[in-house]
Amino acid sequence: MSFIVRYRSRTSGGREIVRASPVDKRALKIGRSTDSDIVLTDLGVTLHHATIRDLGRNLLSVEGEKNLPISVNGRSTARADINAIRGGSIRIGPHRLDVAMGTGEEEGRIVITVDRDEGPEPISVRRLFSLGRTVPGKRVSAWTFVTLILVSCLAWPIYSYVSNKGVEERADVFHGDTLWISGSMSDAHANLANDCQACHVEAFVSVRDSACLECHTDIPDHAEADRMAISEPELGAGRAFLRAVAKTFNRPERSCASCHLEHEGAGEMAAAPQQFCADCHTDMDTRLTTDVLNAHDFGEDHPEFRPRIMTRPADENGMARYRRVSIEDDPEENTGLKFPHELHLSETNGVARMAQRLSGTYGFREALECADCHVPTPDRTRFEPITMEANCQMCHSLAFDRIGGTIRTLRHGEPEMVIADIRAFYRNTAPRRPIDLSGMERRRPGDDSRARTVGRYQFAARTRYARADDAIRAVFSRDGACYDCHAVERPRIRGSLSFDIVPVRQISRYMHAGWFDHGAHETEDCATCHEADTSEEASDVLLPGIETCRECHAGGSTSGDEIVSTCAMCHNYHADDAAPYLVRARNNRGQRPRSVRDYGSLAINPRADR
Amino acid sequence: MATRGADLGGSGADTRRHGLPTRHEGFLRYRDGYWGKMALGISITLIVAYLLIDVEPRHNGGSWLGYTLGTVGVLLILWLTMLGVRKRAMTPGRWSLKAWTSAHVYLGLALMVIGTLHTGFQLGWNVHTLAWVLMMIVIVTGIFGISVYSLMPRRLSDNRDETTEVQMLETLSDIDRQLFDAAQPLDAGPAAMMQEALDETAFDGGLRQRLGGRSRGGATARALAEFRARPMSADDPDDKMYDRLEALLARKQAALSRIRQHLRIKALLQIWLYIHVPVTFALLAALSAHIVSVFFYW
Repeated sequence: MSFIVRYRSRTSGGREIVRASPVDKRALKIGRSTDSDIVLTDLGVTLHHATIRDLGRNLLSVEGEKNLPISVNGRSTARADINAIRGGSIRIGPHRLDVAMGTGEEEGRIVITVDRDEGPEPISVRRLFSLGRTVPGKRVSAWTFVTLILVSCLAWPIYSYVSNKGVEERADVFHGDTLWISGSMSDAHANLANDCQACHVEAFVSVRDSACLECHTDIPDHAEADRMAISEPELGAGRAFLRAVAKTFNRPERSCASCHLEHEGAGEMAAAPQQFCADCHTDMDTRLTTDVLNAHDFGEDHPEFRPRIMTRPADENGMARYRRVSIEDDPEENTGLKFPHELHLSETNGVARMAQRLSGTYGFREALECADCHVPTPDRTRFEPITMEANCQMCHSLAFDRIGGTIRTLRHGEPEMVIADIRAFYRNTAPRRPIDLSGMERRRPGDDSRARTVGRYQFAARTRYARADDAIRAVFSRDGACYDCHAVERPRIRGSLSFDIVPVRQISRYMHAGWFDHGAHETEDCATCHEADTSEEASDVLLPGIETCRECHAGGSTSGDEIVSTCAMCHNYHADDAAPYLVRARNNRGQRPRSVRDYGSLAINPRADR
Repeated sequence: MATRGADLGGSGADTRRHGLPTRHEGFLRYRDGYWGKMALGISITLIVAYLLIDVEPRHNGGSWLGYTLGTVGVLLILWLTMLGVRKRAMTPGRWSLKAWTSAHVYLGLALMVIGTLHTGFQLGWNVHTLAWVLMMIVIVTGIFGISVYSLMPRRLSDNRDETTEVQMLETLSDIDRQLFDAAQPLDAGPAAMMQEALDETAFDGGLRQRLGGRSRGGATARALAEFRARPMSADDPDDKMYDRLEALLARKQAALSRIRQHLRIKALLQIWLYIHVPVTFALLAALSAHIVSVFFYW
């Protein structure tokens, strides 16, 4: 067995030059030295690099000297066998030795072809193996993304802003700046979602109150701005810092948007937190002279209620006088009416008996109940005023005459008319005719007694008109029809009959700084809060104190099953007559009224109207 | 790839420097995971702060906490982006690239907490959420990158079996040359088939094939199957040639699949960076739009 070693090289023109030489040895030395059987001229090859041995039966072994690595069939190794029939290639440095069986003349010999090729450039190989050729380059995609985003999310919205500046109402199309929306609008402002500039008027200027007041024209302020500023406490370091930052960035303090935060999701706009109120109202009297008392939590720090009660239903000018009095001070009110609740609510007295008698007509039960007189207003927040006609007259009749089947009553609320009616009654009616003046009397001897009777009767008939004076006096005096319920103004001139009635005014709302909704408390009995069944005087103020409320209502936080009651449950920041925010926002009880009629200044038939 | 895997964990061979034995520590274990602990501490602190601080009516990016988180977040993002610049200058010591990379990885993970708390979990179809989504994509691809960096080099090395990429290519071209020589006597039909097999390289196909690492029904495989199915007659003079062709095709097939596997692992090692880096720049653009928009419509 012998080898044929073929050296193959190429001319610069690409032509192949082959030099072949047979080597009749069983082992071939490979190396750079000239006495090698296969000479590889490259400095990367050692003088004696490897040895090829013929193992017979077309099997060769390749072995690197001193474990020098050689690459056989692409695998780096120190030793390998090659079957010449299957062929194989050995790499040493830049040289490639292809092993194959000879054909034709070289039949039966093993041909080793030596090529020198530099192999692929390592850099180009790295590029070939890297991902760069299959995916878009990082730089390209980065620039693409950056351009896309800057155009669509920055340039376009700014264009929308500029092109719509000064436009009264935006076109109903998609505007680029709506991409900037930071959260859903509240329900109330949902219609503005496409019109950013409705509120964000100037670029880089935070929303000003003027934008809000554009629509909300009738919002009263909480108090004078300077007084509000005075009432603010010294800020802690943290909040002072925050305020300084806000000031630096030209963000207004105490603006609408300080409390009313938009873009916080669909639904009602969130109510301002209790802390917002408590900031100023905690120990406010140390900073501000005011009749508003300190408060910071309903459960812990809230003054006793101070309802506005009526001290006189009418002064010299006919105007009602009011005063705010703490419930602790046992206030007494004067509405001009005499009305003992205890008497009317009793279950055992004549009132109850009368109620039972009239139950068929008026639907009373065993005794009178609150609801028999007190009718809720349509919004169920408060109660309709009591009227003589609707609530009293069924028992307290003003009837004084009957003509045929018609009962004549005194005119309620008009004392002059009452006087006139009584006078008319006595003028137009004769005294009851004595029996002995009728045609059927028994005759007795002598006309004397008859003449006396005639004389007496004639006198009575002539003077009957004057009897009216007594009747008038009686009506306006103790045990008279008016006197039972009303305060009577006696005539200023002695002997005059110009009686008058002090006007009655009713209070429908005692708590003007707070809000109480009777409708929300329908689960409770009236007596839970109002001790009417023991009140003997109309001057009793039947309002519960704060402790009664606290049985159910906690403050801003609760430990038990009490109701969390923050400021906005009863109080309105914007000092109007509307229901407070939490009441209005409470959607589980349906739409709450913005406001209700206030009867505080309503008198039954005020004098001015007479 | 001349190293045997990038040993990120740091169980590599001891090296001696300044006469002291030092154990190799990867950036994940740098200073016993100093930056990992730092990032964990930051994240927990922020989550606790988020839960304790009462922002009315709900957490959002516009509260003082929101602005703070946002400012910290954007500074962190800019710093994290600077790794691209920093990595081109390797330095040792406390301010070494390793330290920087370690901080990059762990603070980048903490950014997930910072950025998400900054949103107050108020997400929607807007530029603000776009920035958050891009940030999360960058972080998630980063996590993917770390994972493949710690898993794949070993597999890459096992598959490579001490051959270099150049050697892989050389092997393939050797086989191709031998195939070409050996296939000369073939008839037209098998010759065409052989030509297709010769034309097949491991680099065909797009990204999907790269990541799949598998070539279904390649020309080499088809030729091999065809030749193997060829009926063997007792003393066909062509038998020897077909044997040799079969052997060569099998070798080519093996070489191809090794290269493909190599490509697949390399693709996994590289692909995340092709998302991580461009999306980072997309994030910077979205972040600019986010910040401008917030103050534009303040």
